[in-house]
Amino acid sequence: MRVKWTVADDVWNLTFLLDPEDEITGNCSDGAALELRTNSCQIRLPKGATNGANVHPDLLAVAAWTVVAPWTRQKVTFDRPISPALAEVFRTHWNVDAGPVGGDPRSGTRLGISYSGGADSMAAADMFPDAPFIHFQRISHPRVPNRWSFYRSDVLAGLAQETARETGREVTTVQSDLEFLLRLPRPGYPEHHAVTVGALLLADELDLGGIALGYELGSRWLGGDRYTHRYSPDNPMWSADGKWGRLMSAVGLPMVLPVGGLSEPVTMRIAMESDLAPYVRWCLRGDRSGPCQKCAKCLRKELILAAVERRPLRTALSADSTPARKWQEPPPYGGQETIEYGCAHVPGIEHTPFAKAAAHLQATEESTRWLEHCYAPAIAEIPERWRKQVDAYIADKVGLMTEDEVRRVETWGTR
Amino acid sequence: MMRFVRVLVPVPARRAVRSRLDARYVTRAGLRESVEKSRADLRKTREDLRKTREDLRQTQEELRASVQEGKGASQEIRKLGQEFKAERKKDAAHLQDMTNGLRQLEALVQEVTALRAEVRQLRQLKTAVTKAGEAAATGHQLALQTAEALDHVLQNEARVWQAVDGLTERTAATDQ
Ligand SMILES: [Zn+2]
Repeated sequence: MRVKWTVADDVWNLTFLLDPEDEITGNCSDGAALELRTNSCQIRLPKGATNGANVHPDLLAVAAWTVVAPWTRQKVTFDRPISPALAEVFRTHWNVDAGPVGGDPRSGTRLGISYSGGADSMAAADMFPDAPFIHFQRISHPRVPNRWSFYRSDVLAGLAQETARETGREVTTVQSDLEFLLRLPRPGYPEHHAVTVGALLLADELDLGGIALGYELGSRWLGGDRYTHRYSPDNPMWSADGKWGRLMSAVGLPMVLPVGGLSEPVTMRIAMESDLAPYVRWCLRGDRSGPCQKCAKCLRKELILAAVERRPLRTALSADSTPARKWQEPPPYGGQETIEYGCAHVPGIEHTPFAKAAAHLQATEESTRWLEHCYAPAIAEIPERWRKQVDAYIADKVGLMTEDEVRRVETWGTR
Repeated sequence: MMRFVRVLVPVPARRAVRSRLDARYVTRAGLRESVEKSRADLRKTREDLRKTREDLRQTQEELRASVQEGKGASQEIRKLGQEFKAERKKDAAHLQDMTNGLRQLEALVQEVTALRAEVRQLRQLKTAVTKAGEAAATGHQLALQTAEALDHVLQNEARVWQAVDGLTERTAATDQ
């Protein structure tokens, strides 16, 4: 794989050329099969955000890698030399020959937050009141007709800007069409880490020394949504020592998962209690007036919210509606722990689209209590610079899991 | 009281006598006759009176009956009059009703006409919409196919560049 960056007026263009052994098919680090559509994309930073082309080559290399990794088989050639430390991680953790090699590694001090506006990243943001937000906004690709216009990235970006205005938070919105590089299964990040391209390109400018992401207990430790239903300490995407963890650390931007030990019900509670709560939005379809209330994501989040508020489910969706179809099948489900919690805590669950799932899962308040506490190894994984702050916050607002509860995490999917 | 003796006397004699007698007794006989006559007259008069009274009574009764009848008749007439008035009133109301009904009918007819026109328009519109829908569906289908085709063009472009690059590299290697 050969990678080339060009920049003009804070718009960074990435073009890549496949080496003979490369393919337009590949796999995401989570194992999902992907197919490439085209070989160029752009990343638009706010005007005057950077001092021209003065972005550290390591940052550019990793930003490109989030897009080209699935198609690269053996070798990646960047258009400027990367630090030996970074090349070493490519070799040891990716089995990829990366070069050219030369120059010094970079470092920074501040923690940036990759902020989507959803409950998880909002909870992470609540732990770090002074951290700047970097928001990724999908834009159309000039070579790809946008057949997914129901995805209202403009609404999410608008909310991020509103958050900045109303709360005084530092918010930078970075626009990119890189999701349209994926032909299959649908437009999206070729690697989950592509969401950090803005933070990577702005890291020098913002003096970033770490990037916080809203991945919670399920995504980090329980195999997550698209991933296998199992305890996953070795998660290739999010573990500090995994191939992505090491790569991000090598460019002075280690990943920080402030809510990595917390379940979705807990991040939801934190988000709703936070001063950012008025700006929370997980629905990708709703307009400025609010979430659509009829997509699968809205339904799932409503279950969590109702469980946290210990109230009946409010939804117009019926069991035979498309968004509810998944819950008519027997488990396992992606993010099943959250569904168990919801079924155990929502009064009258037997009259909701989750009735069948609830009957299968047989979850109780007792059997889901572990989800109300923090899995301590998640705190241990946080870079030391920010660990104390997370530790204190969690001790104050959540509390740690007992040994029995820890066992629930570590035996997840085996019984 | 005095007693009169009857004597058989031949008629002419008797007459003569009687006339003499009558002449002698003219006053008494005439009076008697006059009285008799008066009595008869009286009797007759009485009878007349009685008859007249009877007539009067009858007439009165008849009159009364007539009056009664007249009263009944007038009541009936009044009643008929009232009925007539009521009828007339009713008829007026009826007429009003009918007028109103007619107006409503006219309005309805207009409405139906308008609705018919609308239905006709809608039918035309439906045809247009169906045609537009078919066109849109075809357009959508074409857009999808075009996008799919473009995807393949883009993918081929990436592959072509890949091949060109490989060729360049091999050529460079042979040149050395
Ligand atoms: Zn929605």
